[in-house]
Amino acid sequence: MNLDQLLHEWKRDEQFVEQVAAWRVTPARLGQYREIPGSVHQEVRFALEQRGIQSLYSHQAEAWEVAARGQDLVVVTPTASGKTLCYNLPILDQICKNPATRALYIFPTKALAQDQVAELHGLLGHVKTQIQSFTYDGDTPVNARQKIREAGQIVVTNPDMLHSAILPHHTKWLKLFENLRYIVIDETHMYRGVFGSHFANVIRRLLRICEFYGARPQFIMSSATIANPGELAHWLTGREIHVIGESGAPQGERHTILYNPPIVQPQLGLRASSLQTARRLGGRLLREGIATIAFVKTRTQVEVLASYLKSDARERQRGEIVGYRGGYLPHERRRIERGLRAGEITGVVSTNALELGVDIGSLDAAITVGYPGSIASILQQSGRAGRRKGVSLSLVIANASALDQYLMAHPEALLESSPESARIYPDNLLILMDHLKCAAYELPFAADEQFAVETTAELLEYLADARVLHRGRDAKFYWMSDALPSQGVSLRSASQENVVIIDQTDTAHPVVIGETDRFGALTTLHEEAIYLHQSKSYQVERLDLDNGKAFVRRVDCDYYTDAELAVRLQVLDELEVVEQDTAVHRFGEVAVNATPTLFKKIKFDTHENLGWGRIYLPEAELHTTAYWCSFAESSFDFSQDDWESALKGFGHVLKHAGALHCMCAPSDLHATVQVKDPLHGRPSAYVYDAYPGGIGLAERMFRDRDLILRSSFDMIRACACESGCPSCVGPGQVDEGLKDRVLQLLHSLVVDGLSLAERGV
Amino acid sequence: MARSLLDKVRALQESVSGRETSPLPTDDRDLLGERLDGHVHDPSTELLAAGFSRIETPFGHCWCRTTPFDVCTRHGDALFRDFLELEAGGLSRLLGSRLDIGSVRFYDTETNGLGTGAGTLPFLHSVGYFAEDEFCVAQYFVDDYDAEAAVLYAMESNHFTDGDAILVSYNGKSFDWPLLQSRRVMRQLAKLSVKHLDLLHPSRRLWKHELPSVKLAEIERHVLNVEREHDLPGSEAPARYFEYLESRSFDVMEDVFRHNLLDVCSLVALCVKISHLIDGVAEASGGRTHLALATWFDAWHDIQAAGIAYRNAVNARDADWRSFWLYSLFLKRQGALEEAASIWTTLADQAPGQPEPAIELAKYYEHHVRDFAAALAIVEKTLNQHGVSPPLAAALEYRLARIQRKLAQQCKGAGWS
Repeated sequence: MNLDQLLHEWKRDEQFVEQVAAWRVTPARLGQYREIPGSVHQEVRFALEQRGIQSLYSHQAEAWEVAARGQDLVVVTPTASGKTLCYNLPILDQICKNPATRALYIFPTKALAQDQVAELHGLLGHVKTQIQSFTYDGDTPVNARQKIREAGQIVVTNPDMLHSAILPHHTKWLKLFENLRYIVIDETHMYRGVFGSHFANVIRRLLRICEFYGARPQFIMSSATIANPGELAHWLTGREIHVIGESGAPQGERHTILYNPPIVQPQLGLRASSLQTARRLGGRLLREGIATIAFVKTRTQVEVLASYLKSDARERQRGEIVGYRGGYLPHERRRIERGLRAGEITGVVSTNALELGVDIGSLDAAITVGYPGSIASILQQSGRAGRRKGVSLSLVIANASALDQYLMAHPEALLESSPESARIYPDNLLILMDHLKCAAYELPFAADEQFAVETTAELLEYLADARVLHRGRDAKFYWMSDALPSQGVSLRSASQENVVIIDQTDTAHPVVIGETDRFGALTTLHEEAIYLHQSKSYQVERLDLDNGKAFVRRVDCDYYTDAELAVRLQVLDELEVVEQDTAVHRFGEVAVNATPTLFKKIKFDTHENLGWGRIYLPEAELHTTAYWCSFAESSFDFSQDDWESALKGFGHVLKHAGALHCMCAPSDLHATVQVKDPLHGRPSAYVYDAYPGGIGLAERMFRDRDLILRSSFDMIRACACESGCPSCVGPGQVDEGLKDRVLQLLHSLVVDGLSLAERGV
Repeated sequence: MARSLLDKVRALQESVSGRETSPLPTDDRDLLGERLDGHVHDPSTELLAAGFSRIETPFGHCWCRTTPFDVCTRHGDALFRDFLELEAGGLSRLLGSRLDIGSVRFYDTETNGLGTGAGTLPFLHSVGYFAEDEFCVAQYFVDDYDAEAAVLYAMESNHFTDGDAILVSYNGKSFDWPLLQSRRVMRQLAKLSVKHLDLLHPSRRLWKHELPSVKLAEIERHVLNVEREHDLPGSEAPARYFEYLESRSFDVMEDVFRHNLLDVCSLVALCVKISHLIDGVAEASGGRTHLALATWFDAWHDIQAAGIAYRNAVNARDADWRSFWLYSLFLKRQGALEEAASIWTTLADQAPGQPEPAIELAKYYEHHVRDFAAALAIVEKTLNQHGVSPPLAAALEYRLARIQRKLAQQCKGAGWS
């Protein structure tokens, strides 16, 4: 049965249709074509013809014109719409006209670079002029590097390599920098949050070096659909970027189904688990031989769902179903990607790792299990299906959270609203300081030079006091320490060091099987934790935080573990305050001390609690930014215990509504409460950024608190439960009046008591 | 309650690193102030007193101290004069082009850190050269970062103008020289071009097997007989320089300059030693050193010298498998097959784990002697040895089959005749 037939079957299946919150069909779209412009160099035109390209899509032609005017540009079109030609065409053309021209291609990951290079080489093979294009990454042999630096006209790399190998050694890249005419940034939407903030600083360093060599390269960027591609491109590069947003590529028919799992316990309004539903529907798709990808939210869920699908599959199909997530080692990921492209793997369960454009060939169906936190993520995930012509399916399965249920009740919020904005916060003090050091290593700073912020001079003074920099007699700041600063800075996180996971099942041959960040290690790699990798269980035997190592051993067990953190929060600085009748809103800086306390053992399948254990680990400290709301205790008739649970429920919904609004993962925000805050003695709920120094989320929540509080109010009010459930007010003891108390708190803040919809927003 | 930017940075960095960062210990700061207020000293006066001379350039001035040695001065086993008396032959062959003693520049640096990234600064560049009857070492001091352009300019115009300078260094090919070129790029000066003789590579070949490492210090101790007293370990140089930048008191730099001066002197002694070995003036110390010489002569097509060196290598008390093996291949190339075969026979017997000699022997019997039975026996024996790798086994099988075919043909031929 093919997908088209299966969709027909589902359409006739009453039980299925009953659970469908929305079923949208986007008809197939024809392509918009333009002639290849006459000004294209004849060799390039010939190469295009050899590759079977007789004409351009309209967006490719537009990119050509804008690039020819010398303007920086970003192309925003769906996956598989021929984005790469938008930059390859003007660049190859220019190199044919002037072979001294150099271009730098930056891809977010090594894997992605490899894919695009393969495509580029396919084109280069037909160009008569010898064009040297090389990948410069961690795998490049040392003896080839010299040649690449001298002769590579197109150098393909990734942000990490640029940061740690190219920029600190820019003098060896004289030829490249002196002749650098184009910088290509592919998958621009990937550069958001911490990674994007780091990358913006890497670009600042790159442009600073270009200026030293007298080059002013032009940016040609591409991005998946987000609300603010031009804005993001501007934040990343500091330039005004022309946006090309209209795709001329054809598209097959596409079905989008929002599916709400059936209610299994009417009193509590409990629904079937979204994971079990994904198991059922995904299993069906796979049984019909329909290539399917499922996106879940956590690494643990990847392992759990993958093992479900495997065990449900027919014997011979089991090998075709895999998990794929961050924490797997590169070669393992490459193997899976190859398998997907070759069609040897038909089912894959992933966190959002595959959202990026790694070319995995065409899949027919994409399942999103639980709202991934942003419309843009949904678009990315569903874009994984239907790269070729023909019918494709995007199936969104709601989970029990208030947010998901809210979206099921208002499907238009998902289907019609535009995707969210991607945000970065490149001036995060910690991130900025790291790159300021790297920049000073690369080129001395003149006394009046600005590195993005007005306070540059102050920061440089600080580094000089710390004897990291030396203030010369010429008043310039020079690098002085005998270390290489880029070595201590990882672009992928704001807190630096990672923990590697070592499997010592075979004592004689321990193997590294993955890695995770330090904060994550506290809750996933404590002793006795069950670490899941490729559906196999490992038990953590020892966590050596000093040396960043966790030692694990294969075990056979029927449970996984879930750890809890005890959090202590202290306000360092109040930056802004707004008073209301019953409450005060604040934004500022906080120090959070977190200690993992205990972990629960949870059985697979039934998810019942099998017991618990203590965790003995030192506390971790996080300095970050927070938005918090303090209530007037007297305005509400609550007992101490009432306050505690009400604040927790309030914090829970606020965090989720905040994540929805800020286009971040809920795990990027943390919430905590104090029944009496130490400064003012008032009941307070805090939401703070999960990254050192903050990445602008709490600040945004403070500014947009009206909208966020309103959607929080809606979420709780619209929840089907009677007195509060894990999906609306969060986990924990539920008493009769809890939901009402949380609503009272929210109601007092949402001045007129009307929901967004009622106000027509 | 508002925190200053710097308080913020400090607290943030502490929270991330988990330790306290105290930028500048207060007593240190006082000390610094005191020195500046109480005892006013002029760094220029001090440098002049320490024997530096001031060089004016278009990029400002810089400081250089030149230490002359009478050519009769001894450094370890060698006199500087020995270098002038070298027949340049051996060194020229190592360099790959004719070596004019007068164009030789011995070069070494001290840097503020390891690595050759843009932030590594060589704060001391030393150039050793012969002038009249003196060996001179000019030490260019980057007494603050801003003096670098002047240093680079002065060094070029004093030592590298003629374009055919021959640079002699130790590990300079991968460290000092690329670093200098990088600094020139940083200062927007053109790169220099020189011929380069890096003594690390020949030293490694000659002494790798005899010494625990081929660091210059080891070579000095074991090969050049240079004794250093109270020498500053090179790794402490960066800290001394940073101290100098704070205090501006040249005392702290003297040890660094002395250490560096001795390094440059040792380059001369090492040239003499290597040259003497090549020219046969000095006797090699062990089998591997003879072998290194032999392979050089071999590569330079100096058959006679290669033959002598190979024989020395195999006759040495510590002669090893590799010496015999390389000698046998040399003999084979020279057509002395019988002699080579006798070595292969010995090697095949004594080191059965190494299949190459047996294979050579089999080839010898098959193609030269045409004794197929003997060739067959050797191949079979090799195949039956433990640990033969699959690709090698396949090659041997192939050879075996061919020899068997030939053997069969020979038998048939014998039958007919």
